[in-house]
Amino acid sequence: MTRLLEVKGLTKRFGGVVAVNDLNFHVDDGEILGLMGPNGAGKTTAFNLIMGDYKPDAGQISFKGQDLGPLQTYERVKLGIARTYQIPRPYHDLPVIEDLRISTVPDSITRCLRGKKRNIEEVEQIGIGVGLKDRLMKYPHELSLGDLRRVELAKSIATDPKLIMLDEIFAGLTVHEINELTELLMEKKKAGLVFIVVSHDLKALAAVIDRAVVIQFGHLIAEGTYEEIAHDKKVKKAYFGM
Amino acid sequence: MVNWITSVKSFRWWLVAIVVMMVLPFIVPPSFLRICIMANFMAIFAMSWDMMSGYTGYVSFGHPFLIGLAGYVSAMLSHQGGFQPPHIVLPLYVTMPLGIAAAVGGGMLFFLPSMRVRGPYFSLISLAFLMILSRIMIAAGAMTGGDRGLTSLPYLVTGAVNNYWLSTGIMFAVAIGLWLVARSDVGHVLKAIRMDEDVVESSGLSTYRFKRFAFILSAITAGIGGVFYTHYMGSISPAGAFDYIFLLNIIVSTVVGGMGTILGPIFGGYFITFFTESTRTLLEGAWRFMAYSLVALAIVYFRPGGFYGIVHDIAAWFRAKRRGGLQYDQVT
Amino acid sequence: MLALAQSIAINGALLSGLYALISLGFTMIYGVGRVLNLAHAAYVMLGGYVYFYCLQVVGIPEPLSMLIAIAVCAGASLATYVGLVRRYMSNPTIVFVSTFILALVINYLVVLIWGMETKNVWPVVAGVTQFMGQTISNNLLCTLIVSWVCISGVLLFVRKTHMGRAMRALAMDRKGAIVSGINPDRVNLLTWTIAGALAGIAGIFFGSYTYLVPSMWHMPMVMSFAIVIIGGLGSIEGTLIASHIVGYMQTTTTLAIDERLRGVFALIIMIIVLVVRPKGLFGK
Repeated sequence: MTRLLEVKGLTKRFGGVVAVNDLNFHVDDGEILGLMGPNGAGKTTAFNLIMGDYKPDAGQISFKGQDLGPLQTYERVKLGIARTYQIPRPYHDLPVIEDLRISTVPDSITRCLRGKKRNIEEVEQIGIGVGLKDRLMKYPHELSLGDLRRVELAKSIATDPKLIMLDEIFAGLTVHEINELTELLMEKKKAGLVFIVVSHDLKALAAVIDRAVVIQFGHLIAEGTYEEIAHDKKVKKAYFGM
Repeated sequence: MVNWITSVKSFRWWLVAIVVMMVLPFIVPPSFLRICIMANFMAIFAMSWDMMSGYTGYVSFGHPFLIGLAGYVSAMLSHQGGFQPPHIVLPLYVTMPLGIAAAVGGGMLFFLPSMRVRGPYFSLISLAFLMILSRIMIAAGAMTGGDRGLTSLPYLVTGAVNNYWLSTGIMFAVAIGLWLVARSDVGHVLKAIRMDEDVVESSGLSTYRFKRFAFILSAITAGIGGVFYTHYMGSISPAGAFDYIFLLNIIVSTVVGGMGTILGPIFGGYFITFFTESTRTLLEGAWRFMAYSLVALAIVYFRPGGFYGIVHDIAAWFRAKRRGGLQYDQVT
Repeated sequence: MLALAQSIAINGALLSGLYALISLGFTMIYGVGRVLNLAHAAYVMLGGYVYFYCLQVVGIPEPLSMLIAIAVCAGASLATYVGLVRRYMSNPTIVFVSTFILALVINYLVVLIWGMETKNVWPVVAGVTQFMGQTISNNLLCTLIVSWVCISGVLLFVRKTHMGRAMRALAMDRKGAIVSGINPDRVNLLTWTIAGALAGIAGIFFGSYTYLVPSMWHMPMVMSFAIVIIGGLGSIEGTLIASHIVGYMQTTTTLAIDERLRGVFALIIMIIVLVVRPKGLFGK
């Protein structure tokens, strides 16, 4: 297995608060990694650092062996990292299909000016692939939370990534919706995609992940398979205070 | 074949507008045409503002800076004397492109740094530089004519009818050019930037690249409007070029017509020009500006989508009624 | 030379204090609501004119005239929020455009009521004081003291009171603040009122420091833009420090270089800050 993403000594402070503290973890090709921890543990901050939304105070992130440090967010996306937002962020004035299409637009003015809406079939396929077939014409305010999460996922898939980071993708969904999404992730995994799934809820991820890392106060406290971390003393303490 | 039909279909409103504009000189008096000329220029300025601010949401208060810079550069170089040596008088076909280039160059030098940062920085800086430029133009009296500005500049063409054809031609050329950009994916991305810039960036697009392109297009349009307007008027002065009312007219034309569209600013430019012309005899001086500002405020407050929004809503409602449900070509 | 340096020191402190008063309100409004009020500098002018009118035309006693001027500005600011801005808090484009038009409305209102001519305002305090071999008008000293009393008041309010902490909480983490029970509308109402009052106070002293003219709001407006960008939008400490950078720079330019270039250097610093440290010296 080759190493896809490697995070070394990552640290980020906001004022006096250390959100991420000397964090180390990695993701290998072909796996789904769970990034877990109680609320406020620094999971989303870690995502934002990997995406380049903030600059880290210390540490290094590399993807496919390349240092991400000097790269802007959009350059990281072009390398093959995509993310979803915990609270879905659709473009409120665009129907789903147009929303998705933004992710397939080439990052070049000249290529944008040539030819119009070439990629509509491709986008349709991606939309259908995440189960939005009959909702491609709908506007965000007409969709349920579960569908908005699908839109988020479809948007990240449409950027043609290798690694997708899913932020609390199961939160607030029904059991049925969770099962459907889980199936979808497994399918995409077979197709060669790699995921990091963030959740504060340990159980929700049990069926999905190959391996998990647990963080608390921005620090790594446990690493291993789901079974291992579920019985880890530090993890239990972090979650239940015991 | 189908493609050809759809492109004719999407052009149909342009054809209607062009035909109306072609017939106009034969049925109305020159005084009416003079107002149309002003309206054409206002439409160009409004389209320029809209390309930057209406599409991306980065509100520019600096468009008079771009317009005035272009006009002043062309005016200073083509002026028949009055200022000290080196006594350069260049022909218009040299000075006008130089004026446009100055608008783009000056705009990029001063405004682009602020576009790298999110938030209202761009707006604040553009307004600040507008004020500074007007001070510099007044201070550099030997070159710019100071407070009084430069007069008796060369004209491109003379007479109301000729100027009408010229300004209408430029206006449509600019409009169709911008419209082709706006309906491509570039326009799509610019609108998305207005809605949520972070998400666009997360889609692997350099928002700065797109904003910069919109800005350059906007500056070119402002420059074209600026030089042609200056050589139509035959004069340029700080009071005319950098006045807040001018800036207000540009912004209000766009907002009234409909931000983030091309037809909107054209309609708004005509509406505002005819509106101000018709109140000229009714109210005087500060009263007129006061009334005008209040009307503008009311429109922005109650109808931020402008006339385009109203027409669009009505049309969509009718079509939805007829076909039952939205179709793909309606929502894009 | 020494006299010039002293003059710069004193006038710079005064101008910086006034700029701080104006910019504090401007930046606080951004902090709590993420919108900017472009009509803010127009209140400065309004305050100056109302004070002049009450004191020198109607003949109302000085303290009362001041109170009226401050109340009018606070009211105007509050009305701007309630009547114009509140509906479009989530659409900064509309807020920008509408407050800019409002600034022009106030501008023409002043022209219509008081005309275009310049008006001289009586000094708030008469007489002069000898200080370090310099003759300083008591009016200048009074302005300096008042502006610092107000600035300290704002700082104390923001740090020590419940409402002030709510303001800072909103500025730091909007969602978190709302979740923990802060009503952003109430905080906005108060912030806009305070900001208007501060602009009114600045207007009274601005008028007596220079004179009244319907274009007097332009420079404070541009300078408050430069200040908030240099200091970092929404940062109170940054605003205070940047006010002094800009205030001293402007005084130096006016007294020692060329009056016509005033404002230019502040804008150059603004551009440098934007390129080197885009979030401002103290921005987060």
